[in-house]
Amino acid sequence: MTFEEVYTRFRAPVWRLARRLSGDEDEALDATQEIFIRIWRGLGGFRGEAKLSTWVFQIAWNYLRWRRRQRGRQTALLATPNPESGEAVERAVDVAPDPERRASSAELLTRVDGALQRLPEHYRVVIWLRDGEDLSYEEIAAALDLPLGTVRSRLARARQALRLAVEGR
Amino acid sequence: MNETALELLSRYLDGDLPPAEARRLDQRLASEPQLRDELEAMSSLRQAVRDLAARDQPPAKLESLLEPLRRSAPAQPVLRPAFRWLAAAATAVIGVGLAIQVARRNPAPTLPTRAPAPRSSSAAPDRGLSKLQPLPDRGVDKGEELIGAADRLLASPLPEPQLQPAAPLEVIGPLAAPSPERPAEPAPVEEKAAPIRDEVDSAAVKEAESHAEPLASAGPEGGWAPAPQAEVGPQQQPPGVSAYHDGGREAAGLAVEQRERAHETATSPMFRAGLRVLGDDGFYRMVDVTFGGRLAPGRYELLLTVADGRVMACRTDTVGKAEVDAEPCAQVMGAALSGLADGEHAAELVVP
Repeated sequence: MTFEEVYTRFRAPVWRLARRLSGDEDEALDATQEIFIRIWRGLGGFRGEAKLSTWVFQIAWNYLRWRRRQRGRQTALLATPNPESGEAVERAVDVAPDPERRASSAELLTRVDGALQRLPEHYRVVIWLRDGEDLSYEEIAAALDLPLGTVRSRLARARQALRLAVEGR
Repeated sequence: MNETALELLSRYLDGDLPPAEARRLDQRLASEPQLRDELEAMSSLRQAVRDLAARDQPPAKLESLLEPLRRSAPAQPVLRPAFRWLAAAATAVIGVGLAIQVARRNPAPTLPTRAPAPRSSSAAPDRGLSKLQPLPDRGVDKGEELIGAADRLLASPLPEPQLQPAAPLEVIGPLAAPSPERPAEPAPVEEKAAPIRDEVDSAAVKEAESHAEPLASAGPEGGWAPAPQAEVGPQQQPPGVSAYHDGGREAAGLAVEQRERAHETATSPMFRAGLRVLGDDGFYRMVDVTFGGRLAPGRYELLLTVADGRVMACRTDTVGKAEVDAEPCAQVMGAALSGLADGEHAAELVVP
């Protein structure tokens, strides 16, 4: 596995995860660069005991979490849209049936985008890895170093939290 | 909608339910419109997140940022697999040699002999008392692991060292002895000392408070932001540690000492605990860990991943404690463990 292959395959997923967790494009660019430097450093020693996707996302998650802690709470609060400002929340969004029509709606995407940013980080990451990047439960458990049962329950709660956030509740 | 039903729906949506459970849920869905609506809403949001992922594409600037890496050859491993085996074999040989030397220089103490035991022609029945029973295997089934220890180690980022700004010094009096021709004014040591201590204490309190995880606004039933699950606040710097090596058997005594020292500082906003780490050589290292978060008293079994003499990853196995206020792992992340080989080490954190 060459770095070029890893880069081609994971450039976009890593950037998307960084953007979702940081909430800021410039921050995501910077973080993605740092993550790929770590992948580049570690690739020679990657022995294939893990799935490559799991390994890459674990590097990304570890780095993003460490970076967030370094930056402290203040940055996290600034990066989170303020529900009171009306920036992202519009009340009473109906997300009931007819999934195809709603999912294709740009308005719904905007609301889901904003609601995702307001979710706690540990909910955001499981929802994004499962629904955004299509990782299996087992891959998520390995990447986040969580028990499989925790991934199942946390994902269910995260989805419920997302729904409530989209509805503005 | 209770959490069990939500988890069932979530797993059903992802095809994670066993066939029998899926069939049962199918029957419920046919007869419970509320459950059906919930599933459809969940499915709709899942599709929306997928659409968001398809829409989000990295900017072209990312290409230029990563171009230098793409032009360079990937970093080589420090040791190729063949050399790793050689290194492990060499370590084993040296270890055995050292053990023999130590055993020769420190013969086992002999008990004073009493009367010689009468020789018996019949052999004593072997009651198996001297046989060591194998320890129960508590490890994780390697076959089920999606990520191995070595790869997990590589996936752990090496935190860059954070230099803390030095505390401002305050001159509290003349350092030189007073000269006879000019009597020195008495230095107001007592008056100055108290404010300094106050400053330190308040700074420590602020530091501890700044490490606290932000509280969620409501619980799972009351709002969209359930409380974080035992996740601890940011750790700006590795815990202050002072490691020393012991001979294994002394570990228990030292743990008591750590416990007593921790009691002395119980009123401080910082907490101390003893961390016993089992090295590859079979000896325990005792490390004094100081942390700002609050841990429930107890004994926490940890599995530490050590790289470059620091704790880079950690898993917990809490013994006898149902609830903790903060994960013990977070308290030992980044702790310096000098003299320990890279890799996984069993450890025990004792919080008095």
